[in-house]
Formats: sequence, C-alpha cells, structure tokens
Amino acid sequence: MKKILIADDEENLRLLVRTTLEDPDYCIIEAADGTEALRLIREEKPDIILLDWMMPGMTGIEVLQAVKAEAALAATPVVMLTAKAQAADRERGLQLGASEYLFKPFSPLELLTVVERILQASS
Amino acid sequence: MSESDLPSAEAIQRQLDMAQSQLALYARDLKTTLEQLRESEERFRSIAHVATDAILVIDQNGLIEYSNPAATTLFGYPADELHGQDLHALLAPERYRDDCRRGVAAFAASGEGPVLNKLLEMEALHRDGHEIPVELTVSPMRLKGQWHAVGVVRDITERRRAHDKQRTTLIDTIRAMAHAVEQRDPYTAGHMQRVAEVAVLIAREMGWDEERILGLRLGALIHDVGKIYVPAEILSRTGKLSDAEFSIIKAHPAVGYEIIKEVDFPWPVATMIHQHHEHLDGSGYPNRLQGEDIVMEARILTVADVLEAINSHRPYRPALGMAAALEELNQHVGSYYDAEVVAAALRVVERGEIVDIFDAGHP
Repeated sequence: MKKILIADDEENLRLLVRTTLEDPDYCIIEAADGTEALRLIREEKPDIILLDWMMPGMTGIEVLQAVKAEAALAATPVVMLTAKAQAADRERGLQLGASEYLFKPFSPLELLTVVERILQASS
Repeated sequence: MSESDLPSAEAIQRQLDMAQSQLALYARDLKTTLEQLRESEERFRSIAHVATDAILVIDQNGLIEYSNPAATTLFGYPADELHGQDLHALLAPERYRDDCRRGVAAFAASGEGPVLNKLLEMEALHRDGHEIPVELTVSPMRLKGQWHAVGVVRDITERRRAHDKQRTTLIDTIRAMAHAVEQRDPYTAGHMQRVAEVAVLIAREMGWDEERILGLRLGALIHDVGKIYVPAEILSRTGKLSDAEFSIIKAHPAVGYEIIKEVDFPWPVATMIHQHHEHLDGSGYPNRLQGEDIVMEARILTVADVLEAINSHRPYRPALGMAAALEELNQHVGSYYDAEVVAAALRVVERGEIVDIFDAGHP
C-alpha cells in the first residue's frame, strides 16, 4: 500500500486529485494548508507528496524546504502542483528538490502517469 | 466580516476560469481514456472470441468472472450458467476439489500457488457429467486490487487417445517379443507374462504411480529376452547342467541388456533386465552389484521372478508351491531381496491375488 499526501487549500481540487488517483493500492491523505501538510508528512511518512504552491499557513515552497531539510523525509519525492505558471517558479521548485512540477489546470492522465512513474522508481 | 475579507470579483472569476479549464481537461482525458478502453476491450474480446482454447477468469474466491465461447463449447455450459459460479465446484472432478479449494484460499492471500504458470494435465467435468482430458495453464492477474486467475484450458481428448494407442502398440510389440522368446522354451511359456503381472501388483502395493509401473511391466515382460542366445537344448535340459552350460545361462541378463539398451525408453528397461539376478548383498550376477546400485525396478523384478519360478513346473522338478516360495523370500530378505519389496509381496500373496495369476497359468 502506497501513501500519497495531497496538500491544497481548495477542497474541490483535492477532490479532483483524489478521484484521479483513487486505487485500492493507494492510501490518500489530505491536508488543507501547509502547516497541516508538514504535520501529516512527519506523522504518516507518505511515499509521495503533492504540494500546492499557494496555501495559507506555510506555502508549498516552505513545506518543500522543510521536507528536504529533514533527514528522515528528504528522500520523499515531491510533486509541485500550482497555478503559478511562470518558468522561474518551476526552476526554483526543481532547484529546491521537487521531483516534478505540474501546472494547474493539469491533465489528469499526466498526473496519473507522473505519480505512477515516481512510485515505481522509488520502490 | 468586513468587506475587505471577501474575495474580489476578479478573484472569484479567476477561480471559476481555473475550474472551467480544469474540467475541460478532465473531459478531454476522459474521452481519450474511454476510446483507448473501448479499443483494448474490443481487441481483448476478439482475441478471446477467436481462441480455440477455453479461457476462464476467476476472482479470489474462485467464482467465474469471465468465460469465452470456447469455454461454452468445451464444458457445455452457456456463459450465463458459468458466470458467478464456483469454478471448481462446477468443472473439477470430485477428487481434485479439496486441493483446488485450498489452492484458491492460499492464492487469494498471497497471489502465489503451486499450479501457477505451469502446464498441467488433468480432467475436467462436462455439463453432462463425463470427464474431458485437458491441459491447462493458470496465471495470476491483479485486477482492481484483488488477485484473479486466468485459466487457459485445452481439450486433449484426441492427443490422449493417440497417446493411449501408442502405449497399447508398444505393449503389444513387447508382448510379441516375449512370445517369440518363450516359443523356444515351452517349459517357461507364460513365465515373463506372469512375472510382469506379479511385479505390477507389488509395485502398486508399494504406491508407485501408473506411469512408472508401466515401465516396470514392459521390462518384466521381456526380462529374459537374453535367453534367445541360449541354445534350446540347454533351456529344456532335464538333467544337471555343466559349469559351462550354466555360465551360458547366466549370461542372459547381460545379453538382454545389450539387445534392449539401444531402445530409448523413458524408463530404465535395459537396466532392470541387466540387474534382475543381482542380490542386495552383492552375491548375485552378472556384476555383483550391491544395495542402492540395483534399481528398484530390478529389486521388484527379482522377487516377482522368484515367486513365479518356485510356483512353476520345471523340466527338472515339479512346482514347489507358494509355501516354498515364501520360505525362500523370508530366508533371504535383506540379503538377496529388498525388505520393502518382500513386505509388499507378502501382503499381495496374503490377499490371494498372486495365486490367481499362477492358477490361470496352470489350468
């Protein structure tokens, strides 16, 4: 069973992502803001993290930095999922150690492919 | 709540725009996925429909989820009478059912099992109750988070018939050979046939499978084939034999081995012929082999040979009877004769089965 954490403040978007990834082999955990996301990441040790950029509490980038700074979590693959479509943000996200960078609106098939590829590579 | 906390009209519009474009992407992907699904489903159905082998898919409880038209042809059940049914309760003969049930239970938990990805030969039950010889492979498949098994089943009635015919021809050929050898020695007529029957009874008593027993039977039917090189007058001599004459007779296992060794049997036929006068303690002939060096087929053959010979008339003596035969076996059990073989032979004798064979030989 693979654990996937979705952090996004928009409930509808979490619903879309959850529906897209729903699978008996996946356990999906949701967080509505950055602070809750980091707490759940520490507690649940997910196999992959999907992070929105703009969230109340901590931003996605701050969560990403915190994850990469903790030895126990640093290896967890992180996918940034954000409306900020500027190339500079993508660069920054990847520099900070994000595995992938998906723009909203995203293609559900692309999301599925990215998640499956990352989970397969890490197992 | 003050007015400044409310999202601006632009912000709401932005969110709506985003939601709309996100939905559009979902719709596009859904269409692509459905098309691919339809195509792959069509392809799968075409393959499954034209297949001449029966294809069955069962879930982890052993219930049939899918069957192709060839399955209906093979088992006689229309698809709707197969779906949702317990595959093994419906299609496996009673004797396989417990094993099947255990296999399915273990498979549901682990996705593993002893029958997976192997070519198996067994029988299946037709709707009308008759058994069909089949060859099948079972492969595991993970679907919706649960284990499924795909069975591909082939009717091998024709193949088995051809195989059985070959077997019959082989046995008949060997019998004809035996007959030719015994023609020269009327006193031992039927000896090899009777030894073969006794050897088969002993092997069966020891729990051998029928395939191995067939090899033993063939070897037993021609175990004295080497005697065709022994002059007929020596074979039928009523008086005492000279050492030279006796050594000619003692050559028959090696001669028989030489005759048969080029035939590529799937059983140690030549070897059992070669070794049927060897003794466990090394006192036999021609090679004074000991213990494990003597194949089990030869050990059975030796005991069956003794039982038959002592119970038969010979040019130089009348039949000595079963009591004498058993005394011989008991006296040399462990030294000449294999203890397990002798024990099995005694049980068969006790049940009176061997006497019937000898009585049939001497009406």
